Amino acid sequence: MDLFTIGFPVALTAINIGYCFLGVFLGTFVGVLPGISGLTAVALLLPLSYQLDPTTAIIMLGGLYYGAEYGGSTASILLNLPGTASNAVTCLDGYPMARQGRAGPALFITSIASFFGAAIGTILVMFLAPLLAKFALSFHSAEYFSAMLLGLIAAGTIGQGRRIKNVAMVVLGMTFGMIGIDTNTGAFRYTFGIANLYDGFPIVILAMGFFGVTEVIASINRLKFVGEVGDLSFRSLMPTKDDLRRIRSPMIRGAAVGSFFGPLPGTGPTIASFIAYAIEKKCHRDASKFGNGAVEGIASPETANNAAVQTSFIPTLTLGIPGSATMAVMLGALLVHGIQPGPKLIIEQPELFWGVIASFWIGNIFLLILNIPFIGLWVRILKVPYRYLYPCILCLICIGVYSLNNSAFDVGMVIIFGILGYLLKLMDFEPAPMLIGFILGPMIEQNFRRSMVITHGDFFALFERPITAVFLVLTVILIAWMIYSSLNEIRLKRIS
Amino acid sequence: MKNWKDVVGGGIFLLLGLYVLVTAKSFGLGNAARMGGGYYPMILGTILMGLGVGISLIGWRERGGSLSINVLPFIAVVSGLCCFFFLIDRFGIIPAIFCLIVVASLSDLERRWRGTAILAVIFSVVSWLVFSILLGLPIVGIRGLI
Repeated sequence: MDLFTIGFPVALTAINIGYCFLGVFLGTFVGVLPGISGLTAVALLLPLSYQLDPTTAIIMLGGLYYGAEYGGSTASILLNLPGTASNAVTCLDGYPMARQGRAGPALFITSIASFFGAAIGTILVMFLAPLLAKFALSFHSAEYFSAMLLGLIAAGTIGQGRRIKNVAMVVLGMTFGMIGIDTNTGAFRYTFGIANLYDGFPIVILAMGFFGVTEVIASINRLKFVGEVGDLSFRSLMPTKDDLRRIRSPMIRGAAVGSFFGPLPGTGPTIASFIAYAIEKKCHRDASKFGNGAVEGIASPETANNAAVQTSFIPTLTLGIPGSATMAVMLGALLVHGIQPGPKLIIEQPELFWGVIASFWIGNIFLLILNIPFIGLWVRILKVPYRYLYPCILCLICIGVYSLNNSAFDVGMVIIFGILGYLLKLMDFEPAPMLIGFILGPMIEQNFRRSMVITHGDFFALFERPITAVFLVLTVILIAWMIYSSLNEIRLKRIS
Repeated sequence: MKNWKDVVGGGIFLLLGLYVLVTAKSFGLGNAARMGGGYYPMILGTILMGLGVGISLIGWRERGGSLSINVLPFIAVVSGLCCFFFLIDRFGIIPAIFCLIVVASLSDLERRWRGTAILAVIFSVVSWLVFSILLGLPIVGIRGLI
């Protein structure tokens, strides 16, 4: 097993264990705090990760990403405020449990469910990623182009919110991705004569503006911490035997749902958790229990979001197609290190691939310890008022971005993207699909150009390649579905 | 009532698409087999325009939601960030962070001046110590002084 011969020796070096712990610790920290998402945290730590070895960088950033999924449920249960979007559904049954004096068991169950989901997800990454990579080795530019096109359209059509708006955001991201010198022709595209834009700009700037700044503006004065957080001793955490029996099959269903939606581009942990909850409600004989503190209602979505986070590494590491917006930012980190994720990654950089997977196991065990015996620590952090927190977040955004190139220009761009992001958010445009478009845009252009050279400019010749044809047909189906459902929505609204 | 959020939002995308499409020509279009720098922008611009029209049309035909702008925080946060932007190169990290925290905190409805002042002093000095001294980034504390 490569995991044991290559992976653990890499992951178990002191420096990698240290950064893995730092990642999951900070991940839990930002996960616990409402008003700052895992994506913002990953973006905040990206500048720091540039100094690190790429494997260590991904171990830390990955830990941040899945760590946030653990922490997020704490605020959902205790305060009825989701720590991250993917824990929103946990409020529905978690908060009633806390009201009934069962906050302890709820926190225990979500940690166990998260660990179970992460374990299943990691096992799937171990087995499916090498298979997918082997399959993708035969890919040429045409296959990449069509797979990325499918990924982009999927990112727009499957996500939350109105589909056509999400697709528009994907294309907006691709447009931002064009900024800079065109590598094929040397044309200066949309640089407005500004030297800082000649090489384009890193995804961190976009993520800080559209997520970090926008989140802060939207949360100030709107996040009200109410309610008293009771004392949580270790004994009060223990669930009853009945609880443990009842969460068994919901966890398995949740893991299945999460593992299915995780690798699909655009459908991150949030959608997985909502669908898992809906399925759980359907599976159960007595649906009226849901919303009144049913343990099934917290176990299943919490398993699903963690399974989705882990499995979203599959397409990112094997195809270079990010499974979620956070993965798009992480992909940006790899590109900065000169690593182009693709099917050859497992063969050429086995230390990176298996080291990161081994770190998942280590990180998740850390998280289990951090979230069960040390839960009291995080509960105390919840009491820090947001008015002292958000100025600090803004400072970290500014310093992080400034340190990229020691240029105030980059900070200026964050301000512009922050304003734009907030205005778009007001008009219900989701920023997540844009990040996927930004990272995939330049790659899709390259592969599109190459495949058009091969086919002498005949687009329909692409359909002669079987794998390409399958991807393209799926893309067309998704677009048709988007148009059909948009038209349907209008019709329904007009009748009512 | 129309959904003005979508009508205006779609309009923005339409205009952006138009701009991308018009400027694409100047990068050299080429043809499908030998694409110039403007071929891909031309496609994107066209798609953006189409999506913009679609979003506006949908918004035109349905009832709208209301807009709820978090006005004060929006102004305070943007002004705070602008403080950092203008001060960092001219005066150094300590004044930049100090002003950022003070200005951004203006948005808080329950203003606590003492808390904010303490936070601003501590955070500006600590970030100077951590980033300039400890991590060795080439950022000055206060220009001319440290």
